[in-house]
Amino acid sequence: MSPKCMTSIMAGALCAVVFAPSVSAERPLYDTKRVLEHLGNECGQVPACQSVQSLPVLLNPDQVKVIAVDCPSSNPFVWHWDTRQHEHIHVKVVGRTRGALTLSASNLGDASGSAQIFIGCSREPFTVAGTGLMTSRLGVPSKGRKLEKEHGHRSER
Amino acid sequence: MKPTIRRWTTTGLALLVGAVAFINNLEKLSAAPCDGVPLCETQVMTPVHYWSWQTSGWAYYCSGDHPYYWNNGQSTLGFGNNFTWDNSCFSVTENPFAEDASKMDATITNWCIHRGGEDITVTLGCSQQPQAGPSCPNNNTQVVFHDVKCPMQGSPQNHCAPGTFPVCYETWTEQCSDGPAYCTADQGAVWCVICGQ
Repeated sequence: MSPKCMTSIMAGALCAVVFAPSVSAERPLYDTKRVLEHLGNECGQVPACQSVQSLPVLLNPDQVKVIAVDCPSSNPFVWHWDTRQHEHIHVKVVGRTRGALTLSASNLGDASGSAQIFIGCSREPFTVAGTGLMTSRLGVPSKGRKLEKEHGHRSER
Repeated sequence: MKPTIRRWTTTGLALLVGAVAFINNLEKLSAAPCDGVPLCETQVMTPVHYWSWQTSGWAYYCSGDHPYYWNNGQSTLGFGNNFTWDNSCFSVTENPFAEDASKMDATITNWCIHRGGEDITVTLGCSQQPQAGPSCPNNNTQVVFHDVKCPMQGSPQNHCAPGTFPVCYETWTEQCSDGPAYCTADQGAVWCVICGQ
């Protein structure tokens, strides 16, 4: 097997291990005060897009909550989604209809955290062609990494 | 093991993984999405913005008259194949077991620490020919834009992206005297992939 093959296998396998949400060894490595900001991806390249947001959801360690967000009748078709969330909150899509998204939010850290969902709604039906679908969002464990110097550190709690 | 030592051991492992993934990505930046893919065109996906040290799961789809995503398997596990991206801040690790005939599935991570985050644009290599299509002598495949009307083998199959997306196509196989023909009907267009004469 070539070194390139080995590198590919190692990268994939090790990433799978490192990002597996159930690895309890990661729990203390999350900076539970770092926030992944809302970036507006829910309306990226979406025609006549209206952003609709959920209320922020607070999660205790190990807690999982399901969040459903609907588009209004004026813009009935859901396209993409984004969040404002803490680094240690794992948000993922669990269901989708033409006009709504259902997501789960799981707290992987050792402190409480929050997540707020934003969905992009349009008058035009969603097409996956050329846009794809985000299926999950999570921070890389960054405790002690000083990322806050770059972004300005904010706590939602 | 003391908690502090264990923490730094795990941190070291995470950094090692990042470094390996980053080096792996540098290799792939030089590969073309259509390398080794017949009847291929590139399809550029919409740019996506990432926060620093953010990781996301993504599903991208080939569409139109080139609806098939190939996974040529540079390794036996199929990581890292017929796609590229435009920003070296990112690692893109393919999840081959979550893919299907049109879908590319990946875990994408922004490793840079820049104010405001980073953008990434993913490009797929997309084919008119299914990866399980005809194996012809000298790879001499040919596409004809009509139904060759040979006897059908089995039943036609519908393929749709999950959920309610209007991206569906139908495939079937016909057995001609000179070999199989793999046919696709997609949004009113019909074409078959056959072995060249």
